[in-house]
Amino acid sequence: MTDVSLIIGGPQGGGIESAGQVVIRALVAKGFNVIGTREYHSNIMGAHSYFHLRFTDKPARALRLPVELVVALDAESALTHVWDVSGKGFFVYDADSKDQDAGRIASMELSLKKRLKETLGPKGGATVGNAVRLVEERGATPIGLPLKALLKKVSDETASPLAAIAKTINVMGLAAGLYLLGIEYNYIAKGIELQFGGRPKVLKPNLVAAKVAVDYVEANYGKQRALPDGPHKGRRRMLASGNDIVAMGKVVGGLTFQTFYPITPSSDEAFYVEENMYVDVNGSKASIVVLQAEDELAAVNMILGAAAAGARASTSTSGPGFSLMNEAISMAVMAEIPIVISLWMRAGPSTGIATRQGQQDLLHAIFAGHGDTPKIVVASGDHREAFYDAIKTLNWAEEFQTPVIHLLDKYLAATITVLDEWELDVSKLEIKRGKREEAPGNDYKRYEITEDGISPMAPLGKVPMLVSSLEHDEYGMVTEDPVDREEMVMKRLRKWRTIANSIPEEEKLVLHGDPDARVTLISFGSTKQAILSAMEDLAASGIDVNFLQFRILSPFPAETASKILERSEKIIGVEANFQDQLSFLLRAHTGIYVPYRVRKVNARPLYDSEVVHAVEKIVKEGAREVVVSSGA
Amino acid sequence: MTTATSHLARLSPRASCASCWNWLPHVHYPIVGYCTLWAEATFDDYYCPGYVLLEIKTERLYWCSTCRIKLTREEAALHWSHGHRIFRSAYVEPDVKEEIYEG
Ligand SMILES: [Zn+2]
Repeated sequence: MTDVSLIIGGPQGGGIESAGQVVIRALVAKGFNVIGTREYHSNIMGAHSYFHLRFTDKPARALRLPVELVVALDAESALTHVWDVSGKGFFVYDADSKDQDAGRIASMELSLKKRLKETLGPKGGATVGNAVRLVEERGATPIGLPLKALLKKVSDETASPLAAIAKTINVMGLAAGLYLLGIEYNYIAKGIELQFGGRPKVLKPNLVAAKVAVDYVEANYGKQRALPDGPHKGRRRMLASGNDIVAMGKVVGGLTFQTFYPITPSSDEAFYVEENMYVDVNGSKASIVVLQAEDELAAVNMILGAAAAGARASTSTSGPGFSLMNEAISMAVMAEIPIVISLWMRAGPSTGIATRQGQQDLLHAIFAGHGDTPKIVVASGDHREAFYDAIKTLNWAEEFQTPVIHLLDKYLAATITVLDEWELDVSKLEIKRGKREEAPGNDYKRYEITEDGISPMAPLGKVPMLVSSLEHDEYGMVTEDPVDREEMVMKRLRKWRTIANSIPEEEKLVLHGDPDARVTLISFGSTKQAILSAMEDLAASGIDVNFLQFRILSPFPAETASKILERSEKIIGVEANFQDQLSFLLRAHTGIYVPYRVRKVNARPLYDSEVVHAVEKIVKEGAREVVVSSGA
Repeated sequence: MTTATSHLARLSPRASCASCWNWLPHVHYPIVGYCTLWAEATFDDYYCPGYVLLEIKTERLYWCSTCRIKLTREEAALHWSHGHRIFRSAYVEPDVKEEIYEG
């Protein structure tokens, strides 16, 4: 069985993104399932950035530490990942960087320099050379690549200008690393071709660079022992990031209008929609309008207007932008306008660490808006869920004429996974637009009092109609009359009950694993895959746990959650925030207190190995709270 | 050697591109850079007769390739005294994809 993890790190902007893309393609070509994510710095160009991947012939769920291979393209990467390589792994570094000292690396965080000094000080200082010695003492194999000499060889062997050759350092590193892991050159070349195939001037020097690196490793460290091919070799498969897949869901889900104001980690969603804005609808060409607004206020207010006029509209943002959208969310509830907001959480509060992971906006999403403003909040656990959720959120927004928040996060946004086309099955896709009034008469009541609280919606412009943020009567006429007011509030309440009753319970939460397990983990969002992966390891070590995944946080599935959790002896909350936001909601709705917690608050993804460790500490040692801290 | 840099002799430890006024190091991988005299890329240990020792004298902006930032003359002198590598500017490939965030 193959199950291998690797990290490739280097200066931000120095080709780390494309290195990761090449590696994923090479591994998919060899037939493996792959998951890979990018960690990058929020503001310093050239600061450390890395790609973390795992490939396996089983489903590739979560990332794992330590890894079997670290490829460090510069001194900062070698020093940063000195703790991440396993005792049986390879540590590939630039042989010319051995004398470089952490103290001299300006972009490195001061705290990391201090930690390195503590670890490597006894060896004579925080240099790459000493990091290599430490790695070697712990059983890993250091591989010093003379990058400059190899680059000169590439230069001698191609007629390409040196500027193009300089960019092949990333490919030399990854090729050497993959070769050491048992991936043959032809797959590495395939990965390079898939990534750079459209640009022959870039393709050629990269292929030569990979060959030069592979030859060097073979000459100095011996011939490769190739890994057996993965089970999916020869299959045509699909790669998508979380941003991509939400965009795909929206495009096939009938989106007609998308706005955004650029903000990490959400922007790529809108860019993907824009790249695919021309769609074929029943044989005729249509176009989605994608608009970059001047700020988040404009972005959300534009979709309010568009949706009121009949568009199927959404926007995307992250925490800071969502803060600015609060007032408009309130208006969407009052004016009963269907909008979807993809909320890509990142590490806050405030601008916090803009490019890193967090799950701190659950309560923000639930309570956004003022004045009794319930809304649907859906949290996707992985790419497949995110795709279908993107379609469902558009449907629900229009069926219930309400704002819907699609809760996602930076980890999902930046994580690329491999899928089969059948996994994104749109054959049963239904575009539901709810109660519509396409031919309103002169007596049309936009806010007609109905039993289910939902009034037939006609787009603005058909007949004179009033839609505003003010309280209104059935016609939309502004009123402060107490009877009108009560009628409208009760209508909105009935609508909320309709929403709660219309969405099936099985869509609101999922119990994974043995229903009779005594220990239950509860969580929401992208922690799902790390937890599922950890459950396999826990079962192997005799700890039987199940996992209650909350998919819809509002309306909250209180009754079903209570029934499931009543059977559990130990409930453990797993969240990437310190307010235990899901546990808070659970207690508010059911009275159930969650006494045990696994917390991840260092703004890095949750790794399956951490969940295993934390659950063992709670179950075997009686710990109540475990803070897990892996990740560079 | 078959590249366009054939008129350059390689490997001069003292006076190489790495300390030449005419040379701009690659923004991410400063072992290569761009020679403004010959208008082509070279490795940092190349040498040619056009070599001009870089000195931090002129009032202008400089590039610290250790910190990867632009500096004033006074700042550059300070970084230089701490052993940082100072240049006239940096070479950024025209198609460089800045993997930086939007806000
Ligand atoms: Zn400096």
